[in-house]
Amino acid sequence: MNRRYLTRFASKLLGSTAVFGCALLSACSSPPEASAVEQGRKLFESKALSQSHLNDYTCATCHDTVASDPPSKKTGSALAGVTLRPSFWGDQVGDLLGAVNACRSNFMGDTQLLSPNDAQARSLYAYLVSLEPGVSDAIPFTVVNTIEALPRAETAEGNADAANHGQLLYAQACASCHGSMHEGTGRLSSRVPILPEQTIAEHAQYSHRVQRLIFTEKIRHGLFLGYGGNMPPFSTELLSDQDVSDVLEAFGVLGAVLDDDAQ
Amino acid sequence: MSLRSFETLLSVIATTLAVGCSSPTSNEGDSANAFPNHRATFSSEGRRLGYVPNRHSDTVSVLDLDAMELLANVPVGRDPVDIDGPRHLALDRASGLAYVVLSYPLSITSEHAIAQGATQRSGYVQALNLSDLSIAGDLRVDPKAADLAVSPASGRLAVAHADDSRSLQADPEARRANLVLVDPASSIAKGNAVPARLPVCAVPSAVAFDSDGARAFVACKGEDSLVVVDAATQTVLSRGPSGPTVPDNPAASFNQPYALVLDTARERLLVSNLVSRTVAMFDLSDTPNLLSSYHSVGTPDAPDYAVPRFSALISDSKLAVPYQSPNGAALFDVATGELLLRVQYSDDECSNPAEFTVTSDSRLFLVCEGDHYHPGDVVELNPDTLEIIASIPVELYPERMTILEP
Repeated sequence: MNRRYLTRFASKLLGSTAVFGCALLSACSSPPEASAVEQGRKLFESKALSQSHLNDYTCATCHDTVASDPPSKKTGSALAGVTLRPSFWGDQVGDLLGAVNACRSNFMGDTQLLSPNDAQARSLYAYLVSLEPGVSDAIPFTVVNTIEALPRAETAEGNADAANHGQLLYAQACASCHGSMHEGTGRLSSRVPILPEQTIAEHAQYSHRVQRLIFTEKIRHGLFLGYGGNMPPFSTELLSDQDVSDVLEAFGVLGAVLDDDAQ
Repeated sequence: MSLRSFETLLSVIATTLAVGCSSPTSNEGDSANAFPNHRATFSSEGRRLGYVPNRHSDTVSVLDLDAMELLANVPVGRDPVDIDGPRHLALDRASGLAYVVLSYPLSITSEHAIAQGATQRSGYVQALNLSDLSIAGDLRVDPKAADLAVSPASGRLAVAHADDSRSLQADPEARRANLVLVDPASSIAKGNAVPARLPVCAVPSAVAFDSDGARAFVACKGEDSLVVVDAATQTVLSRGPSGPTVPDNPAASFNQPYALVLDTARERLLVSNLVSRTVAMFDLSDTPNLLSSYHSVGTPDAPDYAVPRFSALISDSKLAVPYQSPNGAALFDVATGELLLRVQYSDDECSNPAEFTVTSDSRLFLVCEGDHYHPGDVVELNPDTLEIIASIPVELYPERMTILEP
């Protein structure tokens, strides 16, 4: 075996080994479901889960993947462990795909239900499984049914504190969809009202007292219970009545109780 | 080993490993595991099950009536937030389905909703897989869907709509709400149901089929009548009084039927009237004949303004009637109409008794609505004394129970 042959053999050996290694890497370097998980993650973070051209939402708009500390103010629960939970939507939905479809039809404008065999459903499920273990118990989600007037603080100092707290809550709970207060900078789309001015303008015919109730109703019911639109509701677990009142204080939607006659 | 042989060997090893390690993509092998069904299943094999829709909880309570225990409260309905108002469940054992009627009560939740003008929502019938009550399909019907019936013989389904807003119309024909007929009921699960709509009467509040499913009997609260419908041709066969009448005295003849059930043999019809406070028994002819009526005259402690709800024949000789305002129940002799026994219940024992049901071995159950804001109950009674012998709490505002025998 001469030097030239040895050099050629070594070169071929190196090349073949490289091919061999690449084949091994491509076949075995990632978990079997990695591509599905990755596709599911992209679905989670994109608007592609709905075919509606009016959809402004992604799953991530309303859901964290892992519960933060302190908990975030997103309307939906953190999804790690969701595949293990026995029920959803405050025990009103008995299966996970039904819960996903409830989000898609109510918020994302897609009335075509996903079935377990759809490619999107499989990818999304693979991604949700990848988030386990998380929280496997059902997440409480209490909707306020009957809307009542929320009291304000009795002192100017109390109201100032409430407004400051309301600003903070707005940043945590509202700004991701509505953008900055008064300007709407960063809102999801032009269909999402700038708060509070656009909503007040849309309800200018109502008294201040009723406008305050309207804001409360919208926060508590979202699109449900006859209100319409496509905003999700805020449960009592996410925002207490005091929290809602504080947000209204930050808005300046004060609703003097006896002002109806003055309108 | 030659270089070519070595290259070939490496190639074969690499290919083998690649095939061995290759994973199914998201579009291939993982479909069987996507969104697996984690629901509890309910088998009636060797035991008797009871299904109780809870109108204000949007659930169906599944009861083991032999063990007298609650197995589960299963969510039903279409809206994850609003009240769907499931009222009554019917079984279609041959198709492995159950059907529940969603009534969507008009809920006024804010002054804003009042100002906007509250609107009625269409009712729905939801088809559920009997094994786990998962949703198999649904069908939109009309507003104020109140009751449904399924004929085991014909497979037909009928839905009555107690649409009292229509009853304000000046034109009597315009007051009539639809009886929706679906043939077969199982087409709801297949997504190809073609509902037929028959304007049947004002405020039809309850419906039942005869034994072969050919005729539907309808309690018409808004026009004080009992209507018989030919289910095949979707025509009204007759309209008649729903209880006893007094000749030439319309005021004394006012019955206002609310509840309507067949006896377990499907030979007689029991109609409970809210105003006359009678339970009227009819035969099942095209023009039903009044066989008897039963009226509790009451006692000083339990005056006769008590209102009868869904009653049941517990034997050939005894009729059991639940009463509300005050809570109570009574036994009547079927042949003579004599009041045999009357009992009262405290709110803790049974608040707002709504429906008696009897099993094939003559066990007697009573659904207690509760006050609609706290859980109701299903209680078992001694059929001779009407004493409560066992109780199972369910959820908010139960009214009817459907029994699945082993």
